[in-house]
Amino acid sequence: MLRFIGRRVVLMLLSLWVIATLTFVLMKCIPGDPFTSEKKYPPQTIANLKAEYGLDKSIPEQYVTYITNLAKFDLGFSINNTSRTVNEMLSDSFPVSAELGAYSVLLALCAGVLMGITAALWQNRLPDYVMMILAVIGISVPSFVLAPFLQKYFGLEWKILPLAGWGDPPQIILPAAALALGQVALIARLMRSSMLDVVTQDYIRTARAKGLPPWRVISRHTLRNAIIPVVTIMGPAIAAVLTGSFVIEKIFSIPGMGKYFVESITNRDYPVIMGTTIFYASFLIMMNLLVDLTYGWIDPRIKVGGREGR
Amino acid sequence: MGKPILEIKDLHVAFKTYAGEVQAVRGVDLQLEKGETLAIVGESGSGKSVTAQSVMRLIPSPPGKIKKGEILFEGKDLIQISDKEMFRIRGSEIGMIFQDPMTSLNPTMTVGKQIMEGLMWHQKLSKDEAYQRAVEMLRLVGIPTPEKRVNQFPHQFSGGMRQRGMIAIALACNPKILIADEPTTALDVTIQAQILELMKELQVKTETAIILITHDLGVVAETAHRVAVMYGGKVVETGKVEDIFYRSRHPYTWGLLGSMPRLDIKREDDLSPIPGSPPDLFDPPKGCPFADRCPYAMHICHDEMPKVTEVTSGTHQVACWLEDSQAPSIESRGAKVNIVSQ
Repeated sequence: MLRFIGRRVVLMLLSLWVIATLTFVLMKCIPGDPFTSEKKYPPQTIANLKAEYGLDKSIPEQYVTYITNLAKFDLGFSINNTSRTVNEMLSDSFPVSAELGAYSVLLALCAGVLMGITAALWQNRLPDYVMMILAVIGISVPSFVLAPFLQKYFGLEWKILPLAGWGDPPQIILPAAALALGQVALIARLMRSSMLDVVTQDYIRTARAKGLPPWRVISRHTLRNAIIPVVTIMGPAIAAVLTGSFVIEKIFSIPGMGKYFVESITNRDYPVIMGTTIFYASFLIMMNLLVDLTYGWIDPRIKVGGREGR
Repeated sequence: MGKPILEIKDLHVAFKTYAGEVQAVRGVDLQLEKGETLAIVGESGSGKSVTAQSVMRLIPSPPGKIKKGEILFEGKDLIQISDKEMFRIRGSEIGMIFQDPMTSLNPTMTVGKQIMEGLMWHQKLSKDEAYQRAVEMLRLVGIPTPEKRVNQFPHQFSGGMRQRGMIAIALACNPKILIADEPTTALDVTIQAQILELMKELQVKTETAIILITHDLGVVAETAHRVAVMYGGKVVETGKVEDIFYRSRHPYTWGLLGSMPRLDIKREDDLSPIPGSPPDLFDPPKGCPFADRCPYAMHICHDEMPKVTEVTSGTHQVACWLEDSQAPSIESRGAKVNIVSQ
């Protein structure tokens, strides 16, 4: 087990290096630099600024400096917002994004699994149709379309929930719902088909032959086996929620990381671009590792770490 | 012979499909005595598994439906009782083991927990008591180091051990009847013999009556006391195991015996398979289901189902027109009987 995690961490570092390098190259491909603006500055000013940030050096030199700083967890200063380090920006905004993300992943998981179970238990009857129509809507309506609708009805017309903002617990409900919807739909459909597959398995017949009543057969035998595919897609689901949050944070004016991520690219704020990308990447990789570990815990046939056991 | 512990009377089971209704079981009568092994033999689609699953009320429904008949267990009709009563009988009074041990155990639960589950539900044992009993059961079915095995998952068991585990699950609550639906079909031959031996041993110890469903006559000869031969959703012949192997009266039984590989026939002699194929149960024949394939078929065989004739009162019964007093002489059959059984 420890060996497995160790190996995974090495692989993680390797992928992070690849991501850092690619981001660096792509970033340098964006036309212009942090000091390109409509206002004309004297060339000497620009040159001084570039020297200040080390941008006058050759690109390989800049790359080496960058990677060395990265290894020391030093992401540098923002160029646009000179008073703050990238580390500070991330540590201020990440908890906000993480909270929103956690709630919407949780919502997606609970609602999706419940909907899937309902649909499977009443297969080809009314609850099934209702759930699956909802799921199709959930998959096809993008969150940036859904979000204004939620704001209009829940916020403006019925006035039950706050329109936007951050800090009050009720303010989290609408953005989390908007962010979760697509995943709810995906998980519901997956859970439904997985349940339907599991209930025809021989071991379910064995459980019934033991005389267990239906609810016990479902809770003890069907669910655990049916949830395995859902766990597998939790990695991608977390990724989708993270990337979706750029838009949602903007619509609901939430002070999360999404803002910095988008603004840094339009401003070509090199340190912030690199910092946010690397941070997102490492977070996602960690989540995937976590999903893999959960997978092995739910299904004992999957030995995380290989070569163990018989 | 005492009062039978299980009595199936005129059971009819049908399955609805898009193509029509399949009459899988069409009037089966069977009795099971206390402590005996009754083998139900027949080819695929003869209705033997459906009959057994009807006893457990495990027919997938829809599409399956018990149309008619009674299944009497200790005076109660298992078809009529409520689901709740059935949950109490299943697993505790009647246990069942299935054909494929590789897929019949829950892969995400330890074998011990799967044994404990029934005990905790039916006998309201505490977790510790159930755990002790699970270890005992594994020891009883011959699994070495049961204290260790009880905490293992099915994928850590071999095929034969899984079937032993299945038997442990089925017998955990000391059921009065054990239904074994082709318990050895998915196992290799040496393991087959071990499992059959185990079932025989356990039967002596626990006095459980066994219904053994199989298409393997070797298994029947090895374990059964009585045999019911099924064909086309009906029982065509029942009798003690000697009756069926040495004094069988139904042409289908002869066919079955003739198609069984034996050590004492010469290599050059081919097996004699039964020509033709089983009847279409979407539209079952109104006469004897075997008439189309029977070398002795007469006109009446196609038109009317033969009545059950008692060959030996109470033990050996056969449903065949050849038993009728107007049927042709017995010699032609006698010759055949000698070929297939000695």
